[in-house]
Amino acid sequence: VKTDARAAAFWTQLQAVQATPKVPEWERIAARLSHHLELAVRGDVTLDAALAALDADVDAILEKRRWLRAKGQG
Amino acid sequence: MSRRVDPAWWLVGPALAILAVFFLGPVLASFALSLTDFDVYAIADLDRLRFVGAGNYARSSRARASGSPCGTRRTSCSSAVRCRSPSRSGAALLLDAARRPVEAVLPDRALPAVVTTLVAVAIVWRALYHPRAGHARWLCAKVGIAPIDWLGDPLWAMPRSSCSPSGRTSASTCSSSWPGLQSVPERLYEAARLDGAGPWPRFRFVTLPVLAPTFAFVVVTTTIGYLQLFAEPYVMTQGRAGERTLSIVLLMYEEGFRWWNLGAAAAIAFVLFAIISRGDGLPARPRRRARRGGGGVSARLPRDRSTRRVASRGWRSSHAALWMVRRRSCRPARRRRCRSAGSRARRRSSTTRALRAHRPRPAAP
Repeated sequence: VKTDARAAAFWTQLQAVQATPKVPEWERIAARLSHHLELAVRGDVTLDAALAALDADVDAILEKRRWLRAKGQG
Repeated sequence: MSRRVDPAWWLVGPALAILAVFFLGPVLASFALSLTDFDVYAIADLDRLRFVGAGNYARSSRARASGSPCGTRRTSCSSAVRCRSPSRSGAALLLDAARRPVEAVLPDRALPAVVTTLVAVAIVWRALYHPRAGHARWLCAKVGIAPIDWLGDPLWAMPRSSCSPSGRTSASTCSSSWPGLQSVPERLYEAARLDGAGPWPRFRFVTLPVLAPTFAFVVVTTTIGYLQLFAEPYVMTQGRAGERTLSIVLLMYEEGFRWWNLGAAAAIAFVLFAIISRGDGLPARPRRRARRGGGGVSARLPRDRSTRRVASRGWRSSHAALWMVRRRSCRPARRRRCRSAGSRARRRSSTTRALRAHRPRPAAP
């Protein structure tokens, strides 16, 4: 396995993994992420525009959570 | 002095109570819900509920203005209606022209498409449009077109997922045009034939005016059906392909039952209700005609009140007009007098006018 090029690709990827944030909104954020990524991959929008749109979406999704944290219930 | 309660209230009372509890109550409750940001946090603890007023509505109208889900839906809806309803009614006309008995045609052609489950049909279509193994790709290869990602490409996904369920809508359109065609009385055709009208004038000035209300009905129901499109995009693309296939109802479902933003979902429901009740997506012409309560003959002669009154009664008007034509054709002298009196001639319906143009002129006395 150590010499296999395909398995090595997985090993390289595994060096960069991180746990997803433990918030209820994560599933929705992931859906938005894949949506904007799809647009960018298809070339409909530039990568920067996709990132900006994703940022705005995630900001709107997390708005309630910020309010809850400010209230001290988050 | 006790006032007597009208006994009618006792009769309709139970029905009214059930309506209030199971219809009016939920509608009002969901309207109240749409003014809040009820979501998964609020389910756990009602203290986390916020009143946002028209915030949900403002958000959905912004989404509509930016054209993401609803704008594309609207154009695709109206285009689907435009290409669909005439062709299906045309299919009904063809069936009628063939004059095959209704028992022979409807069950084995149209009915299976009406009763087949939407989901089953959509799954079959999804298989046909499969990017690697579908028949669509095989057909394209036959004629030498490069394979198209039918359901994944934003350009193609919407037409595919909105027009593919055609089996169902075409059959229902066809079967609702059919009774309209059946109600065109044979006497009208007979009268027109006697007056020398060929097949095309018979179709244009007898069949079409009589069917105008049916067409209006078909267009309205088809439009509403497409605005409420859900099962097909849900099964075929799940609203993917750059969200081009996200119908309004599918958006509502995702907001409500996938992300549990019930407040926003309720707001979308009310927006959809407003769109439908305003007749928004409708093509303009049928709507105008439908509002006038007739269409066809009456729409073409808007100013003359007597004609409109007669014409809006549907086939009877055409029948009366044809009857007049027949009587006058038997008496050429009287017909000349009619023609000289311009106002009276104008009062005849367009059926009369058209038939007059197509009738062989009587020999000079």
